[in-house]
Formats: sequence, C-alpha cells, structure tokens
Amino acid sequence: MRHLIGVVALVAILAFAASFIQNEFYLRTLFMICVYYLCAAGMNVLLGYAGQKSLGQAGLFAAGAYTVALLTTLYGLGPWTSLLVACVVSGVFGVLIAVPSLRVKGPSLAMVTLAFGIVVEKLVAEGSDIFGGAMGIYAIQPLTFAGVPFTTLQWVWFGLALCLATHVLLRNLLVGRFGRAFLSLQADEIAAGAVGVPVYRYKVLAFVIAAVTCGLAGALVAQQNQYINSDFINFNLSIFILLLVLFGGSGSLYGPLLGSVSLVIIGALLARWTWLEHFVNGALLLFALFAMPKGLAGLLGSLGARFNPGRSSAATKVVSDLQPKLPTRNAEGGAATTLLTADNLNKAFGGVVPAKDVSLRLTRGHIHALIGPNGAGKSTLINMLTGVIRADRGAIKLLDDDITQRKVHDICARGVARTFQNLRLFQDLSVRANVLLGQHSRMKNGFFSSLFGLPLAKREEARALMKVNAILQFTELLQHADTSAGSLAYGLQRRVELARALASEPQLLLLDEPAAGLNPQETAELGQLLVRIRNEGITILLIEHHMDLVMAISDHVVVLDYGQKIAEGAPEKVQSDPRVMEAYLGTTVEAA
Amino acid sequence: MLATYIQTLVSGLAIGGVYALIALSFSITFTTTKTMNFAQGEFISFGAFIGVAALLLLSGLAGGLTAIPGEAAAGWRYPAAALIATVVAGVMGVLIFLLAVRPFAGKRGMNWVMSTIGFGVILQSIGLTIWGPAPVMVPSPLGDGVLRIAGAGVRPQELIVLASAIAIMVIFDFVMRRTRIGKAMMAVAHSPQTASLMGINVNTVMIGAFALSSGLAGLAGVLIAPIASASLFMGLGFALKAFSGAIIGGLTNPRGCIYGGFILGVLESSVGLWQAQWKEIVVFSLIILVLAFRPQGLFGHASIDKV
Amino acid sequence: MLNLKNVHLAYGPITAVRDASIEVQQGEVVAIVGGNGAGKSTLLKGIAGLMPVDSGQISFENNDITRMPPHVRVARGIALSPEGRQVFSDQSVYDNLTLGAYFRRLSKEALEAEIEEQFKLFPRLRERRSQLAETLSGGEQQMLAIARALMSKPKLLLLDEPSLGLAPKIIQEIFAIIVSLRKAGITILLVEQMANMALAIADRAYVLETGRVTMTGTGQQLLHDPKVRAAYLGVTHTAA
Repeated sequence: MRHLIGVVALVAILAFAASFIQNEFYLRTLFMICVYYLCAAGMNVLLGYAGQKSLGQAGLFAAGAYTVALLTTLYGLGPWTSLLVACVVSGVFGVLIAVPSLRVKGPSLAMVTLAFGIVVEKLVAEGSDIFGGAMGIYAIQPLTFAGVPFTTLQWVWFGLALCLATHVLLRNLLVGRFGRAFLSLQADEIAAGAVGVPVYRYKVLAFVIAAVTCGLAGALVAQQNQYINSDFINFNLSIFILLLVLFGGSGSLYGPLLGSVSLVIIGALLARWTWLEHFVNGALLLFALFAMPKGLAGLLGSLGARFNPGRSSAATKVVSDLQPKLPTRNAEGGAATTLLTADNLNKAFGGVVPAKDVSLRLTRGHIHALIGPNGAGKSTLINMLTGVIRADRGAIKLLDDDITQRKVHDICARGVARTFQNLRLFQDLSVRANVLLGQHSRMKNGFFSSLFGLPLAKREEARALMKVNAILQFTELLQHADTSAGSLAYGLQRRVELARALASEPQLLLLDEPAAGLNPQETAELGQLLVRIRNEGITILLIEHHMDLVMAISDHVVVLDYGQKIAEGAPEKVQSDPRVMEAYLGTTVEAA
Repeated sequence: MLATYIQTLVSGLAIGGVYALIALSFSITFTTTKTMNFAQGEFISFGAFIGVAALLLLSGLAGGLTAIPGEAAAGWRYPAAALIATVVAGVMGVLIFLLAVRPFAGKRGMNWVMSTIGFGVILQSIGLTIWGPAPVMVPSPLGDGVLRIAGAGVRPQELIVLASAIAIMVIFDFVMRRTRIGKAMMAVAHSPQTASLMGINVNTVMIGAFALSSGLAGLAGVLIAPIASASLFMGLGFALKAFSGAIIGGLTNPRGCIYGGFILGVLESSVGLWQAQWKEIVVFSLIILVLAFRPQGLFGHASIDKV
Repeated sequence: MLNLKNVHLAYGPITAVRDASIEVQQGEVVAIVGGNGAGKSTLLKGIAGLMPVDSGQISFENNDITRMPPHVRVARGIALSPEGRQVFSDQSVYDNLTLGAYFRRLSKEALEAEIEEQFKLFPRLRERRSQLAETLSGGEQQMLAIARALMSKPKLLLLDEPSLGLAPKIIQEIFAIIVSLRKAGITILLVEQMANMALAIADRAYVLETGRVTMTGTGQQLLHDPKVRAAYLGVTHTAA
C-alpha cells in the first residue's frame, strides 16, 4: 500500500510539474519517455524475468501503430476503441512469435524473433497499397477528451497514467506467483517444469505481455503524431527496446524506468547527429553487457546498499512452532497400499537401452531405494516416472490415474515431486523463493487476480509463505531463507532442493542421488531427515550410491543393471544376492 | 514459358548459392563453438564495400562513386578484391570472437547474442560514416550483358556466383572430410573436451572457425554485390534468409545447411515469379512449419538433453 | 613417472576429490577403485587436464603439469581413454584413429603402419575400418577408444571405466587386452568400478571413497580385503 501511495504521488507531482513546461520539445521528450517505458516494462517481463530474447519488438510496435492507423482511417472506428483493439491485435501477434519458442531454444529462437521483426518491417515498407510504405498513413485520429483532441500536455498526462498503471499491475504480477514462475523459466526450464510450472504457457504469457505493452506504445505514437510510416519500424527500434531493459537493469522492477529516462534523454541530446545515435546505442549495449550486467538499477542498488547497510536484511519472522509439521495433501487410500505402479517400461536411445521391461510397485509410506552400477538406467527410470522423458512402451499409474503421457508440470501437480542428480536449483533466487516455487502448483490465484492484486492472490501468497516457512523449519533452513540458493554450501543446496520438492506437497518424492557430494556426517543427517519425511506419510524412492544410507533407511530395494531389474526386496536380502555382487564388483578375470 | 522457368531456376540457384555459403558460415561457428555471429549481416555488407574499395584501389579510381565503371572489375581485379574482402572479414571475425563472443560463450543468458548485435550496430554506423547510405552499383567481371541459354536470359554474374559457391562448398566438404584440419574441426564440433584429448588445440580451432565463417560472409558480400548492388542495409536480409536456410537444412549439419540454402533460393525465386511481394512471407512461414514439425531441420539429427 | 600431491578437484562448490596423493611408476599398472560417485573419473580428468586443479600439484616425469592445457599434456605423453568412450561417432573408425595421432603429424605411410598395429591388437576394428563409429557395438567402441588413445604413443595410458555398460563377456575381452598392453610395457592408470577385475590385474591400487584415498596396497592385498567390498556394498563395517 505504501508503494502504491508513493508511486501515485510521484506521478502526480510529475504531471503537475509537466503543466509548467511550455517547450513543445521537452513535452514530447517526456511523452517519449512514457512510450518507451511501456515498451521496456513489458520487455522486462520477457527478457529480465522469463529470460527470452526477443529481437523483433519493432514488429509488435508496428502491430499496434498500424492497427490504430488502419482502424481510424479506413474503418472510421473511434480512437479509444482502436487503441483497445490495437492492444488485442498485438497480443495475438505476441502469441504468434511465442509459438516457435515452444519448439526451438537459444540462438535459433532469437533469430526467429529477429526474422519476425524484419518481416513486419518489409511488409509495412513494401505493402504500400495497404500500409502506405514510406509515404505512410496520414490523419490517424488522436485520442480525444470530451470530443477534443489531446493537447501535448494531455498526452503526457495520459502517458504518465498508463505508465503508472503498467507499473502497478506488473509489480502485482511480478512480486508473487507469476514473477517467480517467470524467473524459474529463465533459470532452468527443466527444473521449472519439475516444480509444477507449465513452462510453455508461461513463456507464451511473457511474450504476450511484452507484445501488448509494445503494441500499446506503438499505437500511442501513431495517434499522437497522427501519422505513421515505415521509417518508424526498423531493426534499430527492436535493439533500442532491448537496450532500454539491459541498460536500465533487466529483471529489476525499476530498471525499465531508469533505462527509458536515461536513454531517451541521451537520444534527445544526440538528436542533431543521427549517425552518432546508433553508434552510441551499440556502444551502450556493449557497455551494459561488459561493465554493468545488472544495469543502472543494479549500480544504484549496490550504491544504495553501501550507504545504507542493514536495510537489505529483512527481519525473518521465526515461527516458534516446536513440532514443525510438513504441509501435506489429503492422502487417498490408506497406508501400505500401492501408490504407484510401473508396468514393463521400455526406453532406448539409439543402441543404448536404459530400460528393458522394468516394472515397479511403490508402497505408500515406504522408503524405496533404487541401486545399480553406473549406466544401469536409474536416472532414466526417474525421468520416465516424472515425464521428463517418455517411455517407448509401458504404463505408469499413480493410484488409479494413468500418468504415462502426462506433462512434467502436470505430474508434479498430481503429487510426484523430484530432485535432480546434478542439482537444479534456481541459483540466483533466495532459498525462500526456491521453495515458494515448489508451492506453485498448489496455489490457486490466476492471472487476473494476481495482476490486479485481488484478495485471493494476497491470501494465497500468505498461505504459501506460511507453508514454506513450515517446510524451511522442518528442513532446518529457516536461517538461510533470504540467502541466494547458489551461494550456500553444497550440502545445504541439496537440502534446499529437497525442501523445494516437499513444497509441492507430494505423495511421492523421487530423489536422484540426494547424498552425492555430501560428507559422512551430512549423509547421516540426510538419512534422519528422509525418515522424518517418511513419517509424515510421504512415500520416497531414492537412487543412491551411499550403501550405508540405503541399507539403513530403506524398506525395499530395487536393483537395476543394464536397464533390467535384477533383484528386489528387503535390504539384507538384496545385499547378499550373488547377482547384485557380480553387477557391482564384476567377476574375477581368469586370464590374469 | 520454359525460358522463364530456366531463368527463375538459374537465378534461384545463384542466390541460393549465396544463401548456402552464409548458412554454412553459421553452421561452422555453431557446431564448433555453440555460438554464432548475429552481426553476420553487417559482415556481408562490409564484405561488399571492402570489395568495392579494393576494386577502386586496384584500378586507381577515386572513392565516392555511386556506380563503379565496368573496367574496374575486369580481369584479375575482381578475384583479387574478393580475396581481400574475405581476408579482411576473416580478421574482423577473429576480433568479434575474441571481444564479443568468448567473454560470454558457455555462460548462462546467451549474452553473446546481444554483444554481437551491439558490434553489428557499431559496424553499421561506422560503415555509414565511411560509405554513406546510398547503394553502389558494382559491375560484374564478365560484364552486365545477358547470356541466352535455351532462350532464357541469364546474367553472367549469376553463373559466377553459382560456380564460386559450388566450388567453395566442394572444397570445404573435401577439407572437412579428407584433411587433418577438417577432421580436427569435426572433432571439436563433436566434443571440445574429447578433441583436446587428441592433442587438438581447441581454442585455435574455434578462432579459426570464426575467421572462416566471417571470411565466407565477406566473400558472399562481394559475390552478391553485382547482382543486388552494394548497400550497408543489404546484409541483414541475406543473413536472415541464409539462417532460415540453415534451419531448414539443420544448423548442425553443414551439408544440410548447403541444401537448405539452395532450397530457399529456388523457392524464393519461384515465389517471386508468382507474387514478388509475398517472398518474405512465404519464406518465413516455411521456417515456422519446419520448426513446428522438424525443429532439428530436414537433414539434422535430434539432440537429447541430458537430465 | 606420475606424481599427485594433495590434489583437490571440484565442480564449482562440489568438492569431488580431496587431498589425493597418488603416484605411478614406469611400467606399472595402477588401479583406482571405488563405488559410483567416489571421484575416480574426476581424478583422471584432473590428470588429463580436463578439469582445473583447485590446489595441490601434478607432476609428470618430474615436470610440473598442474596448469598445462590438455592438448599439451597429450603431446607430453599422457593419453586418456575417457569414461563413456566418447568416440567421434560421426567419423569412421579409421578417422578416429587418425585423430588419435593428430598432434604427431605422421606421414601417410607411418600413419598407415601405426593404424595397422592397432588393428593387430584389436582385430575386430579392422573389419569395421570404414564404418562410422556410431554403428559400433559398445565393446567395439571401447576398443576404439583405447586404440585411439594408443595412437598418440603415450608414455602413460589413463583408462576410465573401460567396463562401463558392457556385458560380462565383453568386459573379459577388454581386460585381456589391458593385460596384453601391460605385457607390452605400457604404464597404465586404470579407474574401474569393477574392483575384482581391476585389482586382479593391477600391480598396485588405491581405493577412493567420497573423494578421499582410504586404502592403498598391492592389487592382491586389496582383492582379499573385506573392507574394499564394504566400501561398495556397505556390508560389514558401517560408518554411520
């Protein structure tokens, strides 16, 4: 609330101050700052949060601008309605560019977005019968107030109001469930899926947000100028929008503001030498990448931290609950019933067959261990159970629910959580944010309730925070809650990943070598923790090489070798099985 | 009618040859370093202008012409200019690798995409101050007359482009498959770590890959200049279409990239025969289709992420 | 010949090998055994130069090689047949072998002669000479990986888990080849999970547990030491 009052007051002061500006050039500069802020704020969601590089924002700018141009000139639609339609149209274009992102990643995706921008540029430049080409479209209807077109000052006011609204709405969205989900995409898509974030849906959403704000900005420019031509739409505009975010500080709520203010002013100062402008933009882009990876916002933030220490250490509320309890979902069916069955799973990668008719039955409330030599197919089995890879043949059932074909995030939402062999934490996020991401699939607030900061979103966030604190206490991580996960000692990072998996309130917890890299004491502590988790009613399947641990805590051991199950049963029984010994130690060489 | 088809086919193959060269240049750095130069378009444009500058220098003409007289490109001058452009672009490639790519390669965030773009923006504005925005007409070494083949009008430069592109690709293929250095490049592409175990200096190979890739881009600029005119804005379009060709063929497969480039060139000129302004749209839709159904490209292998 | 002093190796924050001191004498076969995740492969990567050494020193023939890049170490005479074979699957058997001798700049005839030598040692590779490496079976790929390493004429051959993912019969075959290499006088440092087999052919061995050397002795001593078995299966002595 304090934030809201603060920004409203700031914008009001700015609006008031603007009314004293007589110089048309200054007013226009102010208006352009607003316009670019809109572009940058959306782009920040896409680039700074979701980590997707779009090099074709000029295309979306054009979508907005030409929509209002055509609607108001050709179809006589009112300026306000046209502005709304422009937002929708650019949103649709956003979906369009997001589609390839579902299939390609990395440099190819960046190149596709670039191509999109260029195609739009070509289209508006060469399709002169519709878009007017370089001649452009004249007599675009400006926005009106009580039937009278906006004055430049009114445009500034309107721009400021839009910026205010955009900032407040996006802030609502980004500080909670959605912001965390976007950040998780940037950090690690596979882990994001595994904690229950529907990766593709969120990627598309990020593209759409960036598209709508950019289209809105384009429409405003077209309406304010009452003119648009193809010279506006070029590759340099796309780069400029990228630069706004990178220079201002990508992933920071105030980065876009800093970026648009500073760069528009620099641009205005350089306006006399057009050739220099692009050169400077290129140089600033490189400067930001090399010297200022967190942008102006990062720079100011670290300065602020230096002069104002102690502010950053937010007080941690210690829940003084003596008997920490895990939040769990209501278990269907009683104890000691079958929770998950896998029937004749098969998987082949070319000639390598990591799974050959593997069947598995996991009992509720037990700790199951999966052991076997390197390359036996253990990780592949866990990957199949969690939907990360699809089995070639076979079926997996969670209670009565066939999950063989389900998506990763869906399986997580149904109560199967996992950790990874090589740790896939969201390193830059705090421990608490990591664990909160585990709660993602358990939270009920949707896009609009988050965007408008409705009570439901606030309630859900508070509830999730409470549960997460309980989990952090259960796993003895509370004192590290505000530390970034990547900076913790390795043993603690392992525990954070476990806590994150617990946060999805799983029925089944799959752990891929949870003790890898731990020292003997940490391993023993882990064993105790796992037993406590089981005692809370959570079923565990762990892959592990620390045999002491396996033998001490497992109720049931499955041995894989060569993609096949070669033994299973109680730990002692498996330990003395001659086939297991041979798989591990090999037979002796007669030749030697 | 037949003549029109032949004409379309030849110019499609010629332009496709250029796409293939540039597609190959993307593939070379992508396979060996998992990065590529997003300023490749500027390298193409620069290649063309360096070629122009070399032509003027070699024939003792003054700069600042908007059309280069035919005799400037005659005889040995055009090949010499092409060589100079290739070498200069290659050196620029080494610089961009060392300055813009290597500091970010292999780290999260793909910042090399943006740093190479930043270099491209700077290059373009430098180019604009030196050469200005106006396109320059560049003559073909074989003149600008039209050859008649089976009634079809074919420009001699198209044949030069096609022949040079094919020759370069055959040499490249031979080098990759038959020579020690080619095998080393393939080894680095397959796995830099294992390649280093063979005693291959991986770093040198990567620098070499960027030099080669940028050199090809520069050469492509010189080859295409007599057909499209040299302009600082021409590169991006060529680079993008060539990249589309690489995607169609499969970025990780050099031969696939070459096929992809040719397919795209012929397709583009056939669409142009029907509706010239639809060219970009058709090409772009094709990429989307390929990406949707075969993200690894028509000739590429699917890769498996290890979890 | 090879001497490691208090070597630490880590993947970022994860220490994989702590304080390892190991030596290999000319002509020896030395085995490093231990369970999965004990740090065996990491140790070999450190010796080959694929992983930066955090602290400690590695010397080879009395020269400090701790900071030397991998391709220079190969030229000095250290060859690694890596874990999981890592053959160049998109190149032929012949080309793989050629790459093994990459830095030696052999004449065509000399190269042919040396490849012929490898074919004598691994007759099955001769039949597959011009096939792509990806079409080979796991055992053949392992043979190729060893032959490729031998093509650099190493003074020290590092073998990383040559039995990985192979059927018992093939493993026997591979070990028979290692025995014959030893007879030919090649110094070998062998990392192996299959302790029984490795210890049986090793002159000396080290046992690695969670990144530390916990035991050392002759192959025969360790082969019959119950503690080795315990390190794998946790049978008798339980530390926890």
